[in-house]
Amino acid sequence: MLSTTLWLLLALVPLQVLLGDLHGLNTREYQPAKLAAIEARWETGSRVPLTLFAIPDQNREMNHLAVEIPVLGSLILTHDANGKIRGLKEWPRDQRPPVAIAFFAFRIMVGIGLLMLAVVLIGNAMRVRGRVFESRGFLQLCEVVAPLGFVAVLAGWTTTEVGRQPWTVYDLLRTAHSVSPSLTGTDVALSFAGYIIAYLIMFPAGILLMARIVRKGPNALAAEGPVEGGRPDHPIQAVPGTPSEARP
Amino acid sequence: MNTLDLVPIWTLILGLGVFFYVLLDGFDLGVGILFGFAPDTASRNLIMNSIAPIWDGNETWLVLGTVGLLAAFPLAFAIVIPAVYFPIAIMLLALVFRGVAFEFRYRDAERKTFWDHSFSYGSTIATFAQGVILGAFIQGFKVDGRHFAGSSFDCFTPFSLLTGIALVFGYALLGAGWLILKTEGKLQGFARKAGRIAFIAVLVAMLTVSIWTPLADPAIASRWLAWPHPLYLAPVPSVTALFAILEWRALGGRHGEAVPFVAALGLFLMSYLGIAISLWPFIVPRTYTLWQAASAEGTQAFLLIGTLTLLPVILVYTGWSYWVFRGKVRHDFGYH
Repeated sequence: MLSTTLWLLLALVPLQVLLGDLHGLNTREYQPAKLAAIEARWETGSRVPLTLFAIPDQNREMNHLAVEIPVLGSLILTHDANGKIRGLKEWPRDQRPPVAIAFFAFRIMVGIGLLMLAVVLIGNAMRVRGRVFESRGFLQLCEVVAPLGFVAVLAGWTTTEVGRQPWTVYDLLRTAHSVSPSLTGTDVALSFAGYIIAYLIMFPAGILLMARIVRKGPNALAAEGPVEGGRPDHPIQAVPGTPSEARP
Repeated sequence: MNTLDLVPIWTLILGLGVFFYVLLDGFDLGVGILFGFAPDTASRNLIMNSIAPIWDGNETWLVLGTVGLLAAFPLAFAIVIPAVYFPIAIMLLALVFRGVAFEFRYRDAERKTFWDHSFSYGSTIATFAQGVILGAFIQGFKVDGRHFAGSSFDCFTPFSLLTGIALVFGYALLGAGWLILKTEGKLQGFARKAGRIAFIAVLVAMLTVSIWTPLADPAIASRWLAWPHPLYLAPVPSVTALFAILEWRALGGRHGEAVPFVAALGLFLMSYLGIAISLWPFIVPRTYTLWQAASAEGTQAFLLIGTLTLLPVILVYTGWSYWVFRGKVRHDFGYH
C-alpha cells in the first residue's frame, strides 16, 4: 500500500506543481487583482521579486518585514524575467481583496505542497535503498503529514475565494449584490448554527470510528469472521476481495 | 434563423428528474420512516439492508433537479430557493444524519443506538421538509420584480405543514410497498399493516388538498371546474380512484407482492400530474411562466448536450444496481 502510494505520488505531486503553474498564468490573465493580492504586490512593474514572507498592510499599501528574492516573481508568474505584473494600486481601494488573507493562505498551501514533495522524494529515495518499510522515523513522518492535504485544500480554497473579493463573478457581480434580498443575518446565523452542530456531532463520531478501526489493525479485521444475520456490513470489509465476506 | 424552443425539453427533463427523485428517494426515505416502528432488531437490520445498496444513487436525482433548475430556469431558482431556505437547510441536515447512519450503525447493530434514531428521525424530518417545500410552492411566493420579497419563514403555513405531514405518510406508503416486495413473513406483515395506516392518511390528505387548493386559489378552481375542462380532466381523478382501490386490495394481500409498490407509484404519478395541471404553465406559481424564467437559448442548448449524454448513463447504472440486488433480502448475507 505504501509502495503503491509512493509511486502514485511520484507522478501526481509534480503534476500538481505543473497545474498550479498553469493556474497562476490563468489567474494573471483573468483575475489579475487576485494574483496581486496573493503576491502582495502593490506597484505594477517588471522584473518583480518573489516575496517569500511579509506582513501586508492594506491601509498603507505596503509590506512590512518583506523577505524577497529578486526577479523570481516575474520569472515564475510570466515565465519571463522581464514579465510585467500588475500591482494592487491599479484598482480603486474598494475593488481590492483583503491582501493578508489571500497572501498567507496561498503560502500555507504552497508550503504544504513543498513539504509533500519533500516527503515523496525522501520516501522514494529510501525505497531505492530498500529501507522504506523498516524506518520508524519515516513512517511516523507520514502519519504526521497525512492530514496536511486537507489543510492545503482549505487554504487553497480560502485563497481563491478571498482573492476574488469583492466580486462573486470577477468584474461583473459584486458579492454584496449577489445576496438573496429576503435573507436576513439571523436566518444565516440560524442555518449556520445548524450546520456547526451537525458537524460537531459527525466529525468526532467519524474520527472515533476510524481510530477504532486503525487501533485494531488489519489482522483483527480479518479475524472478525463472517458478517452474520443481516447485520449491516463493516465498511472496510465491504471492499471486494477481503476474505471475511459471505457475499453472493 | 428560427431555432428550436428548448423550454419544453428542459421542462420534461426537470419534471422527470424531480418525479424520479420523489419516487426513488421517496421509497427509501419511507423505509427509513418505517424503520423507527420496526418490531425488533432483526427486522431493523433487514429493513436497512433492503435499501443499503441503492439509496445513495437515488439522491442523484435531487442534484439533477436542483442544478437543472439553476441552469435552465435561473429566475425560478433565484426566487424559489430563497423562499424555502429553511426547509431546504433542514432537509439537507436531516439527510446528513440519515446518510451516515448507514455507515456508523454497523458497529453496534444489536442495540437501538443514537444512529438508529438518527436514521428514522433523519428520514422523517427530511421528508417533512420536502412536503413543506411542496406546499409552499403550490401556494406561491411573494415576488417583487426578479426576487422573492417575503421572509424566510413565510413558507411555514397551515397548508404547507399539512403537505409536510401528508408526504411523510406518502413516502411511508411507498416504503411499505418496497418492504412488501423485498421481505417475507413477519416483517412483510408489519409492512402491510403500516402500509394500510399510511394509505388511509394519504387518502385523507389527497382529498383535503384537492378541496383546499381550488377554494384558496380561483385560478386552480377554474382550471379544473370551468367547462369544458372537467370533460377531459375527468380521467385524472378517476384513474387516481382506481389506483387507490387497487392499493387497498393489494395491501390486504389480494394481488401480487409487487402491486402495493406499483399502485403507490401510480398514486404519486397522479398527484404529480394533478399539481402540474393546476400550476401549468408557471414555474414560479402565478408570477413567471417556464418561458419567462428560462435561461438563454444558447445556455440551454449547451447544457442539453451534457445532460443528454449523462442521463442514459445514469439510467443504465441505476437500472443495473436494481437488477443486481433484485429479489428478497435475506438474513444470511447482505451488502453494505
